[in-house]
Amino acid sequence: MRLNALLTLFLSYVSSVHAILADEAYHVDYHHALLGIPQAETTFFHQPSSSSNASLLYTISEKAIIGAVNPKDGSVVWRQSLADSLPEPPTVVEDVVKLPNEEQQRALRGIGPAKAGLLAEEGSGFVVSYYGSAVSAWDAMNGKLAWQRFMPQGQHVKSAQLIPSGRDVSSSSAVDVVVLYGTEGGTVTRLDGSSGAVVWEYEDRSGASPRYLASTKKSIYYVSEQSAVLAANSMKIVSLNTENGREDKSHVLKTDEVVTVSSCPNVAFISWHERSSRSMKVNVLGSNKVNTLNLERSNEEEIEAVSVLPGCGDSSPSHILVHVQTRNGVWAEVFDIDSDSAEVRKAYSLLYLKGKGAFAVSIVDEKPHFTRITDFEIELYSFAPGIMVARWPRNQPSFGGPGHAQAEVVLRGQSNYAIRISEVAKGGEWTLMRNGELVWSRPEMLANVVAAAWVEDVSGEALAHELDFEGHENPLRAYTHRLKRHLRDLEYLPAWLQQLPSSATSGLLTSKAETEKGLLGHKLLVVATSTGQHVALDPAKAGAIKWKRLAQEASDEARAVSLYVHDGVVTSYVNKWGIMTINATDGRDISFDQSDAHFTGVIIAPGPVAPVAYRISRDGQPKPTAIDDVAKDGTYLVTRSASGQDVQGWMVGRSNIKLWTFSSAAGSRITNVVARPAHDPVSSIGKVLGDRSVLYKYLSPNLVLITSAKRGSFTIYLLDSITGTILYSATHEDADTSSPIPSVLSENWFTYSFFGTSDAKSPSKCHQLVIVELYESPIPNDRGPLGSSSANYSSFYPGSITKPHTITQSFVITQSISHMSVTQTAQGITSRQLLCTLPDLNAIIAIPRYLLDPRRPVDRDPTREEAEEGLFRYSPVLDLDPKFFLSHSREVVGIQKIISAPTLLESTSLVFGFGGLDVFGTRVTPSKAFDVLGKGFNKLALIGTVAALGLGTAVLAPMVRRKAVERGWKL
Amino acid sequence: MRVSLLAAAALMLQDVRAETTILPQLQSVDIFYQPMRSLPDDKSSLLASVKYNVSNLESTVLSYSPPATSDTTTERGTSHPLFRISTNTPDGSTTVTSLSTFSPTYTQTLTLHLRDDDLVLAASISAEPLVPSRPTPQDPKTTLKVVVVRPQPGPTPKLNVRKPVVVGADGKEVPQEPEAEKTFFQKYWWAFALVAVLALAGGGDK
Repeated sequence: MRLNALLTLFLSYVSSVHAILADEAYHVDYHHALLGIPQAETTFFHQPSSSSNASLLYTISEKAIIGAVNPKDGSVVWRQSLADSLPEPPTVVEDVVKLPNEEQQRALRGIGPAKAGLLAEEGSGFVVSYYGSAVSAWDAMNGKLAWQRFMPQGQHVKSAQLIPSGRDVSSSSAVDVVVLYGTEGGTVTRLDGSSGAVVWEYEDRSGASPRYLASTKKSIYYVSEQSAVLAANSMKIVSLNTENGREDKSHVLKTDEVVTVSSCPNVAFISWHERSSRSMKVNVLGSNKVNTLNLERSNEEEIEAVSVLPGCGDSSPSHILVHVQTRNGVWAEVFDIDSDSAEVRKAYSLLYLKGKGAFAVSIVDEKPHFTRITDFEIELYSFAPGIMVARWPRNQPSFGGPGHAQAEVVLRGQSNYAIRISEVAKGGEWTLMRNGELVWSRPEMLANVVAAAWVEDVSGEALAHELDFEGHENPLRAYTHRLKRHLRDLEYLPAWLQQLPSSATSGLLTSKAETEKGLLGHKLLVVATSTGQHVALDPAKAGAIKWKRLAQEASDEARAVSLYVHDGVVTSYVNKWGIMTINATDGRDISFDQSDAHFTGVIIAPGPVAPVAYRISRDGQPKPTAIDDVAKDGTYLVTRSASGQDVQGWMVGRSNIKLWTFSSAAGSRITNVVARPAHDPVSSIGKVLGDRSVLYKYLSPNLVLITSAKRGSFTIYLLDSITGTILYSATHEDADTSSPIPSVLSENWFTYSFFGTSDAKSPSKCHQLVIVELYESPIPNDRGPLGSSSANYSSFYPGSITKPHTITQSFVITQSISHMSVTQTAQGITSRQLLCTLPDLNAIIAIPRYLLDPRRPVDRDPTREEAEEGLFRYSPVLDLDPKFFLSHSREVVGIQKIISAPTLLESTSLVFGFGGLDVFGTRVTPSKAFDVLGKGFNKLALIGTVAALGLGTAVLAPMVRRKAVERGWKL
Repeated sequence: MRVSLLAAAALMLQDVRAETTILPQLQSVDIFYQPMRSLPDDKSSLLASVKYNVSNLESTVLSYSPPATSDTTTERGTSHPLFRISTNTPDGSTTVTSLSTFSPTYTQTLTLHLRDDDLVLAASISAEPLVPSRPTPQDPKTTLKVVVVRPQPGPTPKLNVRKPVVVGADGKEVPQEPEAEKTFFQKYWWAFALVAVLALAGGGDK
């Protein structure tokens, strides 16, 4: 028994520094598992299994993520990345270091942007996607890959269709996949739906560029654009036999700019129109007849966009809904298609309505129904009479107006309709409404977050200002000011007295979470996306959205560069658009400045009155926002040119002077520049050794760490950011520089991670994590040259720039790291943790700093003095303890950046990761929650015990006294 | 005669070959300085010219002409005129120093950081207070100390910290014989000795 207790005591000591324990998981962290903004053509309701009526929402997003979402609660059933499985491009440019840059990667892939498509057939049990050169079949229920086929020579798939296989359903799939790929002269391939094997191939050797593929039950239509020299804008349509892929017949059509091809089970058609044209032409594929459709209205507004939605019944005639968008309003025209005579006739039009709207087509009892979604209501039109059969008011408008929508309509009885609408708003929010009521919403715009900033609670600052005033005035004025303040405060007294009993009881009964919220501070998190949204998340409420704001006029090229929060005002710097300021508490606009909006970065420098923003141009030159709004003299900035060729040091103020330049040699590039975090307090200037002597830390606020990479090797440079002097440099040969080399600099140490050879002599490679600690001198109790001049220090004094004494160590890690950051606490007393993103595991880990101590004894056990310091024997492999995983069992995909912020509690640091797809937030206590009472503490029990003891004393005291008196009389 | 001519030619050839193998190891670099608050087309002045050996990183100062300083500028708290230090390396980096660095009361150290192609990436100048006992040398060339630095190889994991495993013919690890255990007597001979001494010493008392 005692042994057991001892063991638990020992274990609790061993795990005294931890990241996350089981009882904290899912309580302190929050995670938005995202898919990216769903695309209109690749989003639909589909029943994954024929045995059940329940359907899932399938989508391929703009991030090339395929996923299924449960329409009941909006949770992700499964998701897969289509881009991940694509094979690497065969040739990589030799001399240039490959950057993790989206544009460059696309350029390397060479064959233009990859096109994504999603196909599903009821009862088949799988969904088929194509993206880039791959066609994949996924199990509709669980997202497991059934088969995948890559097109030869990495040629991109242009289009694909599902056709009935005509084989025995019990032994193989009911549908086959027909795929069109190629660039000059397309190839149409029929793939077996159950295995992906090629059934037949049709090759077009004419050299025309393949465009579309359409299919009906009877035949397949291959549409190719003739080369511009022969006949501009003419499409050749070839119909193919579904059984053997032989060419049946073909015809050529003269088309216009915007072409759409749609397929239904019994008819396929091609439609085209000029941009902003008032008419549209439609051809039923397989016939030569061209129908002209009029899109005229009495109202003479210019047409901005036209989109075509096919309404396919299985046996009934097919219909087209043409959705017409003008500047101020929207309407739709509905047409019938007669598949026998190939004629298209107008049926009726749906009323013009002001504002934005979306349309959806759904089939109920073989009859198409059209749904119109506006900001205020949902209208359902039945096809046959063409009248509105149901309407539902919406309880809240969509974020930025309706974008596109899909509807699922159920008819109960004669005229009792129920509708489910999945709507993707222009602002990127994906919502599901049941009969007009919001069921769930997914903030898919958060997949594009590029910048994030913490917002402090500013409510306490008014009092701080007043106290500051009282501290600086003469005593009499300060006294009267204080008296007035107290008199003013008296008006809140009755209210405070009233709520005193309730607050006393609630204080007794509040949950731990409530109390913690008060201790951690009321911080908000503001994020900016690349598509112009600004969203505030509440970390205390599991990352719930507090407000959201869409920058309407932002162009597609606009990219948020930086967010800066000061006094409750968020300033967002958006490249190629402007600078907008937003109220941090409610998200309302304050101002917008569109002048000179071209910059690659923003640096906030201290100014004489308020902080000043410097915009960094492409060549690395800092420019103040206004001419007389400049930083304090003697402010130094470090900038990097957009080309990655050099890093520059600037002195800004009344005049800007470029002090120094650090250029990378020809053939290499500067891939990473990091400085110490803005908030990086150091609690102790030295490290106390086991013999009570002190190693003094090299603590310079002016350090910058530069990674310069070329093919096959990279060099780390530590620079003094004032003079540009190189303080430390180290080269790693035989390293993989095509993947990111993350680095972080804090206090008196820096780390970086890469994939390279473990030893100069051996060819074996591994992921490595290198730590470098900087000290003033190798000798304990010696401050080196800095000791005498530390009081008033300048980098320009002769002899003030001294090289640090470095202690280095390298560890083998089992995973690659794509980004690094470090935890921040209010005073820096709490030990730090290294926060890393593991892209292969889709996880975020926190490595305790003490494990990375470079002074750990190698090849021997620590001496008694070393053990006293907390050093233990070096082990070359740094095991990633499951407790390090802040994301524990969650799959946190695509995190590119992690930021950290201190809280009111010294022990606790807030962590937030964002970037590629998901957003994830948690809080960490690197040295355990030493300043908070644990979960075992029970306030009620404590008060109860004290009260019971008090009561007992009150009852027993007279008895004891009486007894004592009686005893006295007896004597 | 002909033989001797041939021999001379051979000797010359040998000389040439020797020079070609030595030459690339020796590089020279010119270091310039330029006042910071000057116009961009101001000509920078030559600070030093240094020849260095690439393989053993030894160097010789060919010339050194620091800017003139007055003693007042070395006082703390006064503003220091700043100088930009550059090199004649293409795509070279620049650093900054103050005029007071060149004060005669300090010894200057010129640090040359080499790139992969053996050219100078950056030159920086630092100063240390002069040891007062030393007599001030007349030739400025000897006052300049030059340090040539190449990026050191980064740290690598210390693998093979365990003793190598001995594998037998069948591929299985042969367990190494642990150090022979001492026998009970070997370990506790002193106890026996103590008992014996006590027994002998106390034996006479009857």
